[in-house]
Amino acid sequence: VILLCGIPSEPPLALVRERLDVLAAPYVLFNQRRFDAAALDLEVGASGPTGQVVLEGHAYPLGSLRAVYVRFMDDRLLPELDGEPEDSPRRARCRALHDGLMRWLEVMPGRVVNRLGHMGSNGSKPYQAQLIAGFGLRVPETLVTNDPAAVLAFRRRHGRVIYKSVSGVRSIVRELSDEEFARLEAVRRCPVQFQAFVPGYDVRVHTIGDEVFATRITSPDEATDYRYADHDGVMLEPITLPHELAGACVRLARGLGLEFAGIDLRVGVDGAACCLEVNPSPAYSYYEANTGQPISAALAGHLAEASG
Amino acid sequence: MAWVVLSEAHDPAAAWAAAGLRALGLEPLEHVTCADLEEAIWEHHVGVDGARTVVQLPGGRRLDSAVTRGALNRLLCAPGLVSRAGLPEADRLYALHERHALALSWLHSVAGRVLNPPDPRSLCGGWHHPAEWAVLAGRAGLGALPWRLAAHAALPGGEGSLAGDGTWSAWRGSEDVIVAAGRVFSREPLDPVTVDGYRRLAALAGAPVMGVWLTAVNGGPPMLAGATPVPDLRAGGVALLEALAEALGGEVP
Repeated sequence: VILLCGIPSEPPLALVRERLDVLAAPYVLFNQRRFDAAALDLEVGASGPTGQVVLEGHAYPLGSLRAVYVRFMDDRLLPELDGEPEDSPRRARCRALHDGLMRWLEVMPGRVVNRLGHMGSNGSKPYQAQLIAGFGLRVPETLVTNDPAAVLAFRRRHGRVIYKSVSGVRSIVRELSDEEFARLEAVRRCPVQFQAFVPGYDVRVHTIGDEVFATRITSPDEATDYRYADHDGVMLEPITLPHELAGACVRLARGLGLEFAGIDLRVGVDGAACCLEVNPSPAYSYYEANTGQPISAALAGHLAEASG
Repeated sequence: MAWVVLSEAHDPAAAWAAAGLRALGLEPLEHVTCADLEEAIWEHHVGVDGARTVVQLPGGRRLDSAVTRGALNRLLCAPGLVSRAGLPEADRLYALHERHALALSWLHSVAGRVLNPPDPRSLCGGWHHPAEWAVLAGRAGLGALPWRLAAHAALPGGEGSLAGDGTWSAWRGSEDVIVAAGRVFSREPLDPVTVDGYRRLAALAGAPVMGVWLTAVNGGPPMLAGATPVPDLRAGGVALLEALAEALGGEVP
């Protein structure tokens, strides 16, 4: 049996559910918003996890759940907890349930898309860039610093420079304009990540096991971050990656332990691809809706394959 | 600087290790604490030529990842939090994530061997939830206390206490077994099979340096009851220092 975790109306989860219905693959759903109707009994010993999860009154032995797709939202922000005091038993129970599920997902022997422990590299972009480079993909020239003089030298060397957070928090990409350059002293307060701007176009690559779906994104004025560009001007089209590059993406995702990954490439004017980052929980539905690429079907198939 | 010991401000085992490693010939060696890193100037590059980090410390000291031959890494949390204590909570958390992300990448950029190598969950590497330690112990051929989700917490009508209480107790005093770069030190004698088990556990945990607490239930064999990537190294004495020195690339006499 496959376990789906998250909010059922969220597009990535809803699409996979539809595809599993088409495949007639057995699945159960943990709807986070119905946490009051869920329970977990878990023991983890040297021989692995045992126990059961109760969903909507039905008990499922944990050993019967062979594949899991996880799209958890932060359980502390669930609307059902609005107005609950910070120390309320209901809030604590919800937290404990989610924590227990996450602990189980880390040690359960089946296929998990994706395990928390494998998603962590995305929390440090330069760290992930080092890992990416280790798999043979080019990464943009990057500087993280709290020294204005170092930024000055970096901009002098690279010309157009963008900046963004070092971690995955507040991760919006902006170009370092002359106006912002003038208040560079602010970097002394907290290190900032700067990158040489790579002229060209964006490619989002979704890898699911060995399958690869690549989408070319053309945005107006070579937007520094197409996710935040005016979507009227953004065009998405399916493309086929060169064999070698597709293989590198698969190896990268597998090397990071990711069953499903969203890899952001930037293809320069020389045709060479630069890898910007790897998203371990890609919101693929946007790409599927705009290109018709069967990403959810591949994901459902990947889960069904593991559930036997 | 050739070698560095990284630790929290109050880590007597780190200070002991720094002095001992110097005495074994690992010179020059700096002991750098979180407090030293508070006011550091960072320059961290990643690109086609690899990664390199230069950290300018107050007082003129300088860490250069490209020429660091080895690091004993006991950093628990990202530096730079004390000076940001007055920030609003959201900004403080943002700064925490940013500093952690930079420190992780810096430690990964060190050219020489880092013990323990960092990972996204812990700057000093080798951090695992008790449930994971139990499974890792099993894979290494060692016994472990089971970790239980407090059943009443997650079942309908429960009292709502937090998960995992009661069975495991990490971070509690000096350890029963310490693994350091392939050498195993223990309070009680261990048979060779068990020694190999601890070596395997350290490898599986990604923690070449680790400490373990044991407990015996109802007179049974000792079982893993807790683990840490920052053990009190002093228990291993000079032999442990020699193991570390060798692993960090020193020429131990």
